[in-house]
Amino acid sequence: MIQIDELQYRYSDSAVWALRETSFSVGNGELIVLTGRSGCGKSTLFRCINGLCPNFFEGEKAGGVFLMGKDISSMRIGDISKMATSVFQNPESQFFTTDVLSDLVYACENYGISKENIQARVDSVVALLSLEPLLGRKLAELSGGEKQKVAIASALMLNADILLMDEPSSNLDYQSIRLLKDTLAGLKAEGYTILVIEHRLYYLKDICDRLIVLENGEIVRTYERESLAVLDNDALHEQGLRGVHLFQNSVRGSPAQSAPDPLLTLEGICFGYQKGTDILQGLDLCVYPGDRIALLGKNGCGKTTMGKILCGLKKERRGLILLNGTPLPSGHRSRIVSYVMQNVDFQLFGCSVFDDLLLGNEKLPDIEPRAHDVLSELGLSEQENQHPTTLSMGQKQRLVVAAAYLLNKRVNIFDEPTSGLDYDSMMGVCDLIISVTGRENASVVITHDYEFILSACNRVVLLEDGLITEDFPLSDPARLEKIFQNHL
Amino acid sequence: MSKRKGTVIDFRTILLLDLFYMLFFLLSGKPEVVAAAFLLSGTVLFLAELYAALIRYTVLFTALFLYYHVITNLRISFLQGTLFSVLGVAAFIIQRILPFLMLAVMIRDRKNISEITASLERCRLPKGIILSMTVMLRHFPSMKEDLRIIIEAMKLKGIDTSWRGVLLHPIRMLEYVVVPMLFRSLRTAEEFSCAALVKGIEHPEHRSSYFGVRLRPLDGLLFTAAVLSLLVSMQVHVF
Repeated sequence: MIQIDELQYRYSDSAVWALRETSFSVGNGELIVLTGRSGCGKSTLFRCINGLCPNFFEGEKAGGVFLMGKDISSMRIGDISKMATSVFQNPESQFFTTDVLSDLVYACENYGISKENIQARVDSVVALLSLEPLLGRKLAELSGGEKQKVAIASALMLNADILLMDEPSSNLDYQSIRLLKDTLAGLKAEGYTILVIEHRLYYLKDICDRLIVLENGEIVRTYERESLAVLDNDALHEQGLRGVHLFQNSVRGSPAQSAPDPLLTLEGICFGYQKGTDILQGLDLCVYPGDRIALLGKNGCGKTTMGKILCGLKKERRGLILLNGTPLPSGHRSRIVSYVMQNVDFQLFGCSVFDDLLLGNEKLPDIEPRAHDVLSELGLSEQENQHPTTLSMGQKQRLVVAAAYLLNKRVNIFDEPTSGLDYDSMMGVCDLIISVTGRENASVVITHDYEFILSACNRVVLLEDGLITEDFPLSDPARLEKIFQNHL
Repeated sequence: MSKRKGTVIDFRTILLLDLFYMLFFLLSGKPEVVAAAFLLSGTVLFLAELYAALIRYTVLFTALFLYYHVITNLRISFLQGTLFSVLGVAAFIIQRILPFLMLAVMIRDRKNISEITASLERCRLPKGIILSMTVMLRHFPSMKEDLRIIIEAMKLKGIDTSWRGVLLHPIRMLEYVVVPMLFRSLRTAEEFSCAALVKGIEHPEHRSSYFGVRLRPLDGLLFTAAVLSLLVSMQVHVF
């Protein structure tokens, strides 16, 4: 169904080939996973198959891409979509409408398909993916997993036999990934040919036929499904890849040691976005120096809200936050607590790395030499004069943390810092969190990433129904596994 | 399939009303014309079953209309001060913006991109313009969300985001908002464009419409009522 023959691709603004003489094929009804470190050429391959390269992302192409035996080099993107339809990483940026039904029919309308034919396709796709309960709903009301399911359904409306997916799990929580796995297994059983580009491999190991590993634009290894079952996580980690056995990882560090006095104390915190409905309902928590807390909970349970209350972006309705036993008013919290957002791009305002670090801190004594020292400590000295937007994701996170270093902030909050990161980049974030926390400070990490929690955190806190329902030092992964299986 | 709520008026009729308002506001700035435009927009909100928005805008428009009328016509001495006059100018301007805003609310709440794209295509606009408008309309809600996150990030950075901060350093504040917004917008536009292309937005055939985009007798009635009421409002003197 998909035949790639010695494909090479180089973007017009780059001197380096993103893909080099890549060849492989995908048979009818197969589910193939393509993985590799960030920047290895996975997304370029995805774009070459759906025609976005070179029709939208211009560049130089050599070799061939054949779909169902047809050379796609002279085809328009829209014509390719009728054979191989695409689902992107972020479902939000694939929706053009606000409700499920109109999004399902949107692509068919573009192709001028008659209303009766569209209705037949809607009925068939809704039955295939059991979408009936979602049909009348607004997209904004859906969970991440449901949104990704609707994105897949919209793609299937084009009646293509091939489904291409680019990192479909990167914005999803554990339950949503299970839903995605079930959806993909169902589609494979129906005979669809599926190519998934992905970092997270654990949910695909039982349903894929082959796992192909790309490195520097070339295929370096291929694993058959049978060999994946016995493949050791460490063997993949050495290649910079995520493990295939989610619950076979071990805890990297030692569990949190309770210090005598808490650094930060939350007493009876209540908060709600609407009158009468509190998302946080009298939450109590003590954060000790040296804590690296994994804050877990279902999507929408109030994890980010709690983080925003801690750093002063939101003010609690009731309750008290104490720093070393002294009340810490909302307006003063940002001096003590830093917050690294999920999309760190929004937090960079300076025209250079150095300038960004100084911003807002200009009046501090000896600020310039100290800023140089901090950048050097975090390995950003060479990038001092670069524009912050040119940095890698890991470097951007370090730059935001650098400001916390400079101001000696005691608590760092990280909101989903590893979504869409490969194993090496994930370990970079782990090292950053461990180094900024040390023994004196504390970190709170909002995450759904099991592998990452075991590597970076030493304490686990579960937020459910507005309260902390589990709180334990992370020594044995079994308890964490139970939370993932039963509570997330 | 049940009929979707309040979708009886076609997008093209709303566009046409917008054009009429602009034309008549240019030809005559009379309060009668503004009131006629408000009544037309109010009718649109009523037909779209957006009753809460209709009440909100009616209260606001009536208050502004009365205030401006009192300031300019009743000559009450204590209302002749500079502050009241400045507020009067603001009331004058906002009154003229409200009818457009009411139509925008109707589009936001009752029209999906599918219907808008189909309507634009029926107007025989070039595909490139339709694609740009589609991506732009789709981008607005994301921009609002992005702006909220940027303001939060500014607060975390210790940048004064209060009105005082905006008034003291307007250029600097604009830079802080615009630069990350531009970089973000570039990425968002790229993502939307890719999604639109693989969904066949450039397909040369005529677009079909699942939601039955067509001009109905009610559109004709509204169109006739708009022309007549705006023309009559130019001739009469009520206020």
